[in-house]
Amino acid sequence: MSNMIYLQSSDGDIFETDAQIAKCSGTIRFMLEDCYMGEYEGVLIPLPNVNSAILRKVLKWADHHKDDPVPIEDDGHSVKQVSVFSSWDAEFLEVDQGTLFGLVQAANYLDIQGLLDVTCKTVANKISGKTADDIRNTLTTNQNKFQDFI
Amino acid sequence: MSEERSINDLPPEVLTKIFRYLDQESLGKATLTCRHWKEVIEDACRWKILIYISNWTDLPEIVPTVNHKYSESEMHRFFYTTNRKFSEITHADNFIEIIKCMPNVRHVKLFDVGFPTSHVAFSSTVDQKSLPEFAKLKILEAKNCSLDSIRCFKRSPNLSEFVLRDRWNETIKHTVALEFLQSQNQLKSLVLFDIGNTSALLQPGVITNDSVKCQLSQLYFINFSYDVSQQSCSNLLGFLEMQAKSVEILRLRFGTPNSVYEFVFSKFENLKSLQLPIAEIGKEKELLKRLKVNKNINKLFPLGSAKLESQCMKEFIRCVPNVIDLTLDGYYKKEMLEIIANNLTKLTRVMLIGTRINHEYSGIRFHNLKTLRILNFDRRFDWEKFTKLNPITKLVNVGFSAKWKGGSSTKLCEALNRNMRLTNFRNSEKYARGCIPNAIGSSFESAVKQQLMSRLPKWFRIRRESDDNYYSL
Repeated sequence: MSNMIYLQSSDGDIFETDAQIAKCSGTIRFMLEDCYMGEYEGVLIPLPNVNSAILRKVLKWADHHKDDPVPIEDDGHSVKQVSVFSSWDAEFLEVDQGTLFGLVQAANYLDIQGLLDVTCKTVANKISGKTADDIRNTLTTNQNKFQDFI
Repeated sequence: MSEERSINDLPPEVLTKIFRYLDQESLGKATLTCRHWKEVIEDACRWKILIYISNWTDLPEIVPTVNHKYSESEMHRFFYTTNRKFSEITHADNFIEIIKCMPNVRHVKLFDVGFPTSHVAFSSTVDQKSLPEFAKLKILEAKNCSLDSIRCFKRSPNLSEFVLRDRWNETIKHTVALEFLQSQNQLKSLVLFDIGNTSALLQPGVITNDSVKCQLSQLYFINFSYDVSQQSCSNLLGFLEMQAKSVEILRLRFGTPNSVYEFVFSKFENLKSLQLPIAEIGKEKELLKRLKVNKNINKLFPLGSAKLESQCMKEFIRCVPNVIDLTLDGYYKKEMLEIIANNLTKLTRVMLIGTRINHEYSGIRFHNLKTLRILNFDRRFDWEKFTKLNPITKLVNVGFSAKWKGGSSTKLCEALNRNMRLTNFRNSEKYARGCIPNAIGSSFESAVKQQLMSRLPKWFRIRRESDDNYYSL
């Protein structure tokens, strides 16, 4: 039995997706299981904080990772290393910075731990080992938003 | 892309997550990137700013950076270590050069600075230098440091806490402690580790009423070495006598001479919080009988009391009738718990550390219990029975790695919240974040949210551990 649901992006586009895939998002999973009490076939979930381009990417990521085991919490004491992630992820995240930050935001909003981890790692990799000036140069494109903060 | 996003559009908690992947060096540089980042890193995470100098050849590069950014701004913490390449530190100049760059520093930790191999060279230069003043410095911690690296911070008129934590060469370190005591009038808290027979505190004639002016409110003696004899601690008692009126929080650990206990119970008239190794006192039954009743003590942590004979426990409880806040470690038998519950009638707060709350507690009725602080629940613990006997109003989780998953706690959350619906996951996460500055854990009504704590950013736990329990437990 396939459980198709619909996700609506901030641009108004509607994406049809399998509920099992969408459930990698904690936010969506919570809505489906608690608000719709498990009877969610064909429901439409509006996602006002995610635009179409980002949502398309997120669904692509979720589809590829749909068979991943549920991540196990570590004890919280170990400092995380910037680790190597799968080559698919690396390729998937070869995007412009606007998209990358969009993905971080979406992963945070949708509560997708796996995606949040890899995107945050990718951003951290861009910061790691750089001087303050390098960071400012690397992480900004046309409009220099750091100016507001310096 | 229609909209251009910047990294600073990300919410602070996500930035925090990103920063967690950085090593200390990159993190230090990230604080210099912009004010927002600095705030996020220092304020939200309150990570120690680590200046990790592994090689003194880096110095010319680091000093200007530090100087440029920190001379005007506030640098909250300074953590300094030298990677044990102490042979390269031959002058205090370099060190003073660095600390001069941070006049607003509030918390300094020194590890392995000016190791005794280079001690002489270090010493000859320090006093000739004009030492910088640290008007905002509140806490100074030192481990394996030479006299002079600590002396560099002598001009700290508002220093309130001084921690000396190392396990060797106590003569030197306690001389330093004494020097500090003599130069600091505002000092409120003194923490000394491993006091031995040669410690300056135990030398005759070293401490006089004129030389020490500060009045401490917190005093921690973390372990005495076994060679401390009853005779040699008369000087220590002299020091305690001076502080007897002001000390409110006292922590004593293993090896404390018996005369200190007697002194504390008879002379410390304003003592409110006491931690002591009761397991050790329990071996001296005569001492227990001699201890006077202290009615001011309302917070008590008897270390290792689970191992005590129940008669000794009774004897001891007699001395502390007004305890309202009790911390227990270890696995207690029901019989012992009943003694505690029946004799400490004012008890309102109980904290259990090192063990889960288990079935031994199920049928215990504390007279006045309001707050329970625990690591976790044992599966055999009967929560329904316990809450019927003890209508507690607050449950606090004090776990370092709070795993509220698993059968027992899931069941508990269900029991507590049968009628409660979790309506917004994201808000609950924020709520839990909001709790961090106040206490270690969240309150009772958020027990379901506690389950979600495993989803919180990792720094949540790290911070709780370092802030609240660094040397206290």
